[in-house]
Amino acid sequence: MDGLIKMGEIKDYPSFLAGLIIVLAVVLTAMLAPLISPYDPIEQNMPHALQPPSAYHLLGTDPYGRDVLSRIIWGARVSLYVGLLSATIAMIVGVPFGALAGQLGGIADALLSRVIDIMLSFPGIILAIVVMSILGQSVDNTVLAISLAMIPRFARLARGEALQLSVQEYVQAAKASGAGNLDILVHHILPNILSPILVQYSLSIGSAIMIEAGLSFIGLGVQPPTPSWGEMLSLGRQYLYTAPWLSLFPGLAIMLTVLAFNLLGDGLRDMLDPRLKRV
Amino acid sequence: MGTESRATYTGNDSLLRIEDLKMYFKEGKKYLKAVDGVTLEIEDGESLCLVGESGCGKSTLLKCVAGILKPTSGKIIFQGQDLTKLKGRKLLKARRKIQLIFQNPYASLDPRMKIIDIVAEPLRIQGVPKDERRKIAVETLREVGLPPGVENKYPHQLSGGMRQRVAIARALSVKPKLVLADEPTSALDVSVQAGILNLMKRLQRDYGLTYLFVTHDMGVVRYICERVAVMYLGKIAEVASKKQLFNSPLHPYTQALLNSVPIPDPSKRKRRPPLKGELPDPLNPPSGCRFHTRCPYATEKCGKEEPQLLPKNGRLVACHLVNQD
Repeated sequence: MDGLIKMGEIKDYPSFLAGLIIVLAVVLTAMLAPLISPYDPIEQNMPHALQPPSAYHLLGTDPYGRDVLSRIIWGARVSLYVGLLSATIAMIVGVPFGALAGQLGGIADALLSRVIDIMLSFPGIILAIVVMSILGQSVDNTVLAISLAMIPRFARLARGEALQLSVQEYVQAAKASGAGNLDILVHHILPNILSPILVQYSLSIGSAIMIEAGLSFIGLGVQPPTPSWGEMLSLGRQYLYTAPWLSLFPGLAIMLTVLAFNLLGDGLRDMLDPRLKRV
Repeated sequence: MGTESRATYTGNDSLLRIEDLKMYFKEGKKYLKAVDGVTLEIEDGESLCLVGESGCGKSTLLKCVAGILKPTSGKIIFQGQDLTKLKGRKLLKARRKIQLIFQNPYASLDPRMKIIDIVAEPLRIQGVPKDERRKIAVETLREVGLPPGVENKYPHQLSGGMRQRVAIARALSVKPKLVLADEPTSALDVSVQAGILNLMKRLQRDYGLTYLFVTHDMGVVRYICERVAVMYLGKIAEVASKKQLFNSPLHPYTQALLNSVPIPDPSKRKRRPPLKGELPDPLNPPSGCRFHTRCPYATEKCGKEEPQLLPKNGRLVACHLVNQD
């Protein structure tokens, strides 16, 4: 693994660095939420409802008098939890299946490829909506629905890469020595497809956060009063003219976080691709 | 046993006997007969060169023996066991005695693995414990002439010659009987080719290895081989000892092949008919003798009847002209 990323090189990739800094900031915010959030994110405080941003409530308050900043800070937890967990599950399930299919070829590959094609023909959010309406609403079901929607991306990527690798001479050498398919998968295919998978992983976290926000926005995701950025947007939609801060700030939070993960992914791709290496 | 009898030798102690091996690939509705009924014997401790033009099926034959490809039909009998019939642990055990060296050391080493793990890989597959296989790997790296410290490097940090030494060490680590080499020097600079060939010759002596060498480089044939099998379009054209082959090639294709080797001294150049045309499409191989379309001596019979590989003056030749007189 060493040699994949050199610490001294990071400064040559400003987009990666920017993404990394924002992601770290979001992660820290989520971890330190109980310490840094100025108010309770759930407790209602009707006399202070719908206040614009002020010194007391930096980002204003919502129709129930809850502090928007506090809810954004706590909402980061939900977004990161759903984003990280669903991208991770999708990767862990999708990559071995796809890689094995690409490596084996034949009927196994044809079968899996068709399943992937079918799943990819649905937009991720539609697939997630269907799954959510079947499973019912909870944070963990949201994770399940999103990871299910993202498995085919990983499977297809891993399949393509494994297909190329399986004809490499070092794979044939292992085969000639009597290595089984699983041995080749673990020792040769997976380590060599790690870089594109890592890039896909980072980009997927961003889109998982988007899908979660979308689900919560239409009321299928995380349920109130649990603070979630998508749910905040949904609430703010009704007050778009009278209290724009309600939707503006959660929207910014989503945008910034997704952007950060995308920058991270793009940066990783540049860093890991030797053809794009800067001299 | 004299040189004359070597080529046709069919004793019981042959290490590897390939019997009527066929390897067909399906191309649309037709079959590409890459290897079409090859019978070949390799004696314990010898080195046999398999020569021929690109696309004649020599690498495919090697891959069948190595177990990378599953032959369409035929037998591969190694130390008395038919490898095409073995399965599971028995096959794994037999495989240990057969190792392969590839043509391109830039493609045959996993770029994400350390040298020590590459060399130890066949041992790992055979189930040798980690400490032991690492010890053997380091010893083997010294044996092929690589300096200490190389074991913790990655392939991209090594030169082509060093990489090929790593590939040789990988083959050697399990103490094989038979080493299959697929043009092991053709991807290397001329200056390092001799070093690799010398190493392979020394290892053959020290470890009692048997080589099946695929090459199209006649210089390599001269240097390393004792016997030569000439292949043309999936079939064996001639099998002879090196001396016989270079001094008096019998098959017209062998003659043409040798004619393509430049000879520095003009006075020593012999007049042999040059080879005309390209290798025919293997999907539509010519009828009768497969070489008749390019053969300067071809008769009517050659286009109709397929010649058999028959003994002639202590060697095997598949040619109507040679076999009739």
